[in-house]
Amino acid sequence: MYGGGNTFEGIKTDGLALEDPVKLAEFEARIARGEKIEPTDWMPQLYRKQLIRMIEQHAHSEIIGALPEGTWITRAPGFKRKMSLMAKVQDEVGHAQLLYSAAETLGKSREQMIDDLINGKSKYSNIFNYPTFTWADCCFISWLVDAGAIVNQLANAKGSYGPYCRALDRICAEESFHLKYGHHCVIYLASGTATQRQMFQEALNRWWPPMMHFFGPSDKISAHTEVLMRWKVKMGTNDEMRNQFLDMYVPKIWELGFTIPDPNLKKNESGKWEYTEPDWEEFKRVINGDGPCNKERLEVRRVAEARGKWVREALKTPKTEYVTPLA
Amino acid sequence: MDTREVFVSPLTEGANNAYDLISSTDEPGPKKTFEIYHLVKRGKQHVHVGSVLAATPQQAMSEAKKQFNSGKVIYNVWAIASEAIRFTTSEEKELWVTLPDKKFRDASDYKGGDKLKEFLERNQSQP
Amino acid sequence: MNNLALKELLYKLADDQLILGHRNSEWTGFGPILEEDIAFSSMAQDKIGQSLALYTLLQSLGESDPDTVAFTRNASQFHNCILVELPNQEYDFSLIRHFLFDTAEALRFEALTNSSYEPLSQLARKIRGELRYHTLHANTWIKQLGSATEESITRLQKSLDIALPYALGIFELSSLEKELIDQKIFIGENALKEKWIAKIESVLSQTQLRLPDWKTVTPVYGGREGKHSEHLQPLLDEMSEVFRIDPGAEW
Ligand SMILES: [Fe+2]
Ligand SMILES: [Fe+2]
Ligand SMILES: [Fe+2]
Repeated sequence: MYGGGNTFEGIKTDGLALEDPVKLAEFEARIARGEKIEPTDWMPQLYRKQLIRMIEQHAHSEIIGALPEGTWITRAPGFKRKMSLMAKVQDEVGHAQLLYSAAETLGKSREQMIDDLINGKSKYSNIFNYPTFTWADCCFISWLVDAGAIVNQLANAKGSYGPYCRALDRICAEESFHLKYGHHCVIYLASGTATQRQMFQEALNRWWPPMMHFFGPSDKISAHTEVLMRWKVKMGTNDEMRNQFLDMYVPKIWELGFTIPDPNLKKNESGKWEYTEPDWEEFKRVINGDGPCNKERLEVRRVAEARGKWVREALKTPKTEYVTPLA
Repeated sequence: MDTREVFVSPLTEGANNAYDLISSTDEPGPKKTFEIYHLVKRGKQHVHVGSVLAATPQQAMSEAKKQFNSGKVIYNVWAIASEAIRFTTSEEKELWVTLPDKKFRDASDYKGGDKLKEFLERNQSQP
Repeated sequence: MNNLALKELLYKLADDQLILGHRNSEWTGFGPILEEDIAFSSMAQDKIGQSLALYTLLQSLGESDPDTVAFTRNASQFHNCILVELPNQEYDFSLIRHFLFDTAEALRFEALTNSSYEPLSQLARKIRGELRYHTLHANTWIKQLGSATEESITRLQKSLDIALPYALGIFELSSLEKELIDQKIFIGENALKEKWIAKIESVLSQTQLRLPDWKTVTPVYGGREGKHSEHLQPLLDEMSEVFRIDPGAEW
């Protein structure tokens, strides 16, 4: 899971003037031709920096994202759901592993990245700062948060950096089971008892605002990212991604007879979705650490890292050396 | 396997074949096998194409050029000494026998269509 | 074939797998490195899948369906050994428990490949690879951490000393032991324990960990007849939290 552009802040492009103009032009021409950049290719510093930041944030979102659903593994109702949820959350941790490796090809080690996550220097998807109160919240994530992530990931898989694209190809293949599983769970809640229906309706009410935040601030107020679009680091604007998500999933939610808590939500004649503008102040507050679960999520990670330190030390004996992945 | 064991050719683009940048070498000394991998499409993964006998990785590249350079553009070549690779033993294949049974890992195991249809019909029949 | 003895055997096998699978799954998101989150999750999936297969065999012998059996019994109706229900604690304890239990589990199912109860011997043959992975994983880690740093060795040694009495509890005898052996359903707990001791000794001899004199270790029994530690009931309450909202509902 993950929201693509949502943790993007503005970028400084002044360093670009210091790049070799011939190499830069060649680099841009290659991307324009649809070629992929590999770790050993020449690339501008800004490209490297932004990619590390993006892939790293994506990786963090996968491990932090494993937490809100992970707490339901031991409580999943029945064998079938239990097996699926275990496999699904395991996949998410696997996605983190894959993505950290992809980011490592750019020269930052997994340990440094995890340190930055714990120090709060590096962000992760905002949506995982909200709590999962009931089984239905967990189902909401499996279905709709993963759906949102897939919208982003499918787009990013067409980006310009080879290792990231390859990682995303594999991730998207696994996501298709997550999405189906999540939808299956929600169909059962929808067609189940009144209690089950109500459980999901309440989850939908709780999760809709963070879901709208998931794709990041609206294009009107978000930082300009033209250079990142040109370099195929960012593959679509936040609003485009959000619209695509709404187009695919609002009808499926309505089909199940649930009410989306936004009276202004509708598709206009030009095929674009209209909705109440999400509360971007709340978004900012949560992303800067003041959400319902930020502290808890990071604390879990911090404790896990601290408790695992002796294990990682013991793995380095006999002395092993850090080697960057190749592709 | 350690990535340092991978001997990597120059990376090319467009219509340039990586093999064109590999010079022929012949080296004395005892030979061992190297596994050869090709990158045939930018953005995809390297694929194993076969193995060669050589004394050094450089010579393995040069041998690969003789044997596997079919004229098709290859963007990158890897040569890895076979002994550096840990191969799966036939005994270990047992580890994966139950994999096909783990249907819950497959999207096709989640058919909600009937349940959904039944639900929609039930809803429609209500006023 | 003595159904009572067979059912008792199947229940204890299934309950062991379910409860340890549950504990293993608690590592998801909390492992010392990502690779261990993933490995413990794989083993959890295998174990819970195996428990499902065993409960399904029980169903064919007239017991309730697997969901009802797993999600509605209380602690005194469970026949798992106490070792598997103990909390995960730190990674050293989880690893030692995994090593001690999974070694026994692999030997047990190896013996069961010759069971006269055909469905069980079939299942035992089928899951051989999964169990092999579990012991491969356990042995690799025990050998690495059991000979690495002073801290890792001290930690594992401490956990080993704590876990051993419970590990011997795996082999708690049943009053129906003789029937199982006579009917060639299973070789019996004593025979299994002997194989287990030999295996444990051989792996640990490749590390800096020390085993005490077995005569000085007093086994902790009770689990097989439903007498559990205080840790099992809360685990079951958690497991059935959603299921109990409406046991008749489809989830
Ligand atoms: Fe997912
Ligand atoms: Fe994911
Ligand atoms: Fe996800």
